[in-house]
Amino acid sequence: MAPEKRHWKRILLIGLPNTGKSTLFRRLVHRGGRVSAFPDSTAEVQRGNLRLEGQEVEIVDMPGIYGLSTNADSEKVARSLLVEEAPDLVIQVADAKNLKRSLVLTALLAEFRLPMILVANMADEAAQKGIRIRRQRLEAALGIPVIETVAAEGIGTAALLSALPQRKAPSLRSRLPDKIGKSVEDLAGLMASPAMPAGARRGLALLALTGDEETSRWTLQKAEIQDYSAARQIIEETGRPFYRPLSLVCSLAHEGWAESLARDSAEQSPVSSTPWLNRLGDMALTPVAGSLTLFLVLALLYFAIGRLAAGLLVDLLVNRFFGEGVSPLLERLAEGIPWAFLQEIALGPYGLYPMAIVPVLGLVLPVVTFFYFSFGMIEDSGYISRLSVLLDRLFRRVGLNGKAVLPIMLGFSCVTTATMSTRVLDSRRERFIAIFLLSLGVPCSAKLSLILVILARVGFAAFLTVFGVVFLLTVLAGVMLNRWMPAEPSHFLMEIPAIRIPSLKNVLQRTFYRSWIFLRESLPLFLISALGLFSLAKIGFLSWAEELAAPVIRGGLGLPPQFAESLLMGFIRGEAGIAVLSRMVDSGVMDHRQLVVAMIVTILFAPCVTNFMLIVKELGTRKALAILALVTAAALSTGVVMNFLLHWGRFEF
Amino acid sequence: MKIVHIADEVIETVWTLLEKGSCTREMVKSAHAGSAGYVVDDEVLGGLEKSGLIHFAGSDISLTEEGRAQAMPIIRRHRLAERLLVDVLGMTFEEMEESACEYEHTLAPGLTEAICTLLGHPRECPHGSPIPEGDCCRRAESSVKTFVKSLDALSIGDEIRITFIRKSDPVLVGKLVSFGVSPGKRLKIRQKFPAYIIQIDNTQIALEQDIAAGIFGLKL
Repeated sequence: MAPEKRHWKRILLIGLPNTGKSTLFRRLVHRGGRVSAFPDSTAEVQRGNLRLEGQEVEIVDMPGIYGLSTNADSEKVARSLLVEEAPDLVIQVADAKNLKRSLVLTALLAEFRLPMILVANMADEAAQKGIRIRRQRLEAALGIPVIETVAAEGIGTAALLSALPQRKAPSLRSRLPDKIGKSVEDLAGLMASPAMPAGARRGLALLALTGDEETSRWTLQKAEIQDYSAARQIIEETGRPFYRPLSLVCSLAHEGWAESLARDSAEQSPVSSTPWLNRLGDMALTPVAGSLTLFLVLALLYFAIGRLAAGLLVDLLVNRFFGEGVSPLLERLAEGIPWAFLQEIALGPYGLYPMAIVPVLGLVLPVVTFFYFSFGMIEDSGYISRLSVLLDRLFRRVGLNGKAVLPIMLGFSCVTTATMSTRVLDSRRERFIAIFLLSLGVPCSAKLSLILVILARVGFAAFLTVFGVVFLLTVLAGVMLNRWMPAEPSHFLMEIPAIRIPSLKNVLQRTFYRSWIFLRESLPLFLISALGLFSLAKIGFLSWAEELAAPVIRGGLGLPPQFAESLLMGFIRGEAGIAVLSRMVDSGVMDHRQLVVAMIVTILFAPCVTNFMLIVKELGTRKALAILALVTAAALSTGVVMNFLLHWGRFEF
Repeated sequence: MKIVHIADEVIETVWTLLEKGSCTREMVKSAHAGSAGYVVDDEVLGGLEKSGLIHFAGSDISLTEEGRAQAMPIIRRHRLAERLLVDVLGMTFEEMEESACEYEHTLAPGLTEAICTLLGHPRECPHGSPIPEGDCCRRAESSVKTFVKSLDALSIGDEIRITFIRKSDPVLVGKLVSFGVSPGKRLKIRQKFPAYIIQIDNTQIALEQDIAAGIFGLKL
């Protein structure tokens, strides 16, 4: 072939869930992203660039899929990427530990006749399990390059990059049953569009045959079929002799082929894994040992985040570093500034320094970083899917199932990310419930960090009261939603990845990346909300609003009117709202009992603006407003009840 | 070849074709074109109509009430026999076809029920066609005689070969297949509570009770 310079536009990463696509994606584009040791983790499409043969090529990472023929969101996305975006190359990422399952997808993708590369990822874990991939045999059978990688460590990515320019379409012949194969040809023949490559037409034809109703309709529309009724007739006639859906007939056919190829090309020698690690993994799945493990994990988390970070580290930073070091210095500097106004903006009670800089850098960032690290270790170990098994039955009580454990846990990292990740849930009902509960009762790590810092000073009883009430209310809300919303079947079915010792390097990398993202997002918003509050205070709006809200806040909640500021700021950025609380405690306008009430209301109160906007996008304006209204009502009424109970019981913290 | 036997073969063909959508004279004739020892022509079909087993409407053929009643147990025996041969004896599809045709005429009613119970009252033959229900299925008999059991009737540590999956949701079945849970696979039960944990090859899969109850297999 002449060394003609080819045009590159787009590369697609595709594969079953939990095969390490996103990790590989990050390796290829040198850009961070959130990846977890949980099936179905990347809930949306990520795009990045890489340089190839002197050109900028877009590389697209998409959600994990099992096939292309159902109407699941992930498969819809995959279909349209394959057909509409005309990739120059498809990289299929496979789990080297279980090649067969990925090969079923390979057989399906091969029908599209696009250039492909098969990546056997997690080759290290496969080796640990005694599986050796015979690369040459696989390459010969498929007719495309096969690369072994350990994406998490970056092993094999260089080989992959150098194999990209080969651009070979699979040479394996179609494994479809004859009758279906013929119908695919017939149907492809009906697709007029000359611009569409033959492979895409074949692929579309196959999808039209095997897809569920909506898929089939979408496909025929995409294919610009002229003779629609003829196409329908082919589809109906092909399906008639089979009792099972054609998608299943095809995947069973592919399955048989994949099984024999996998047997031929992946050698299994006796396992030499780490037995104690496996035993630990099995133990975490059983009710008793699993609960103990969970308790231990939570205790460790509390110690690391609540004590070490929120207590010791924050004390060092806020009191020593900022309090004794930076603040006196700034004050002396400020004396040199002639304008009192500027001084006030910077250092006054509503100034940027006390309202934004100290809370973000001194309080939130260190705790959040600790949190990201701990969560990263848990994620990387494969523990979360074990927790899903453990909690499946409990989650069913609130209308969810074990699959929702990840989104809810993510909520403690960032509620907005978690809201996005509810896409892994199967039904709209579950998504609504999960998003509602996330908005109501799950404080994000930034909020949590300040809560922990403040409560650490007040005592354990306050800690228990605040989280106990929030937890009970959240469970109650879930139970009620579960009862009120029309039932829909939801299936708990997921793979349990092997437990592994987290890679410290990976976790640290991810921690750094997430903390950086956090800082980049939080600080500007914090500054803006502080400035906003400063201006509102200046023009007198604040005192007017406080007066207006006083009946509820003072009368109902028994809190000082300044609490309105906390709610106002909390809507812009959750942790900013809690920072106001912290200042109110420090300045003595609020006692501990009031603090507990205020804290409960702030945690339950409305989602922050970013999250609210995402909810609008995900569920629509009506449902988003309903959530906002319900959550606000629940927050305020719980606050009133708590205020009454604590006063009535003469409770002191 | 006895005429009764041919009648059975023909109404069986008509049943199968009707299940798939439509049945015409031509379809029946061509389905028997390769049969040894007998020919199905208009005369045979006409005879069957006279004896009240089938009914003509133009070129279409349907079964009469009597025809259905006669074909049902044959279909049932044939498909149960297929299950027995594939699930328990491990035959291939080709080997199975010949033997199943023999059994459909020879199995005694009591024996049919025994086999059906033994296999866990399967609803589909290995090809996926429905197996008509018998009395034993309606009574939902299960006893020690049942060899093919669903996962929830088995215990931890049991290893089975999956024989069939009884779940009507095609998306769920497709997902199970892509997880490697499909007929013919070996599966080991690791845990049953709080959720089922099964192991297939090197993969551990968690699933809820409801799905586990729809996976049937033969204990190894």
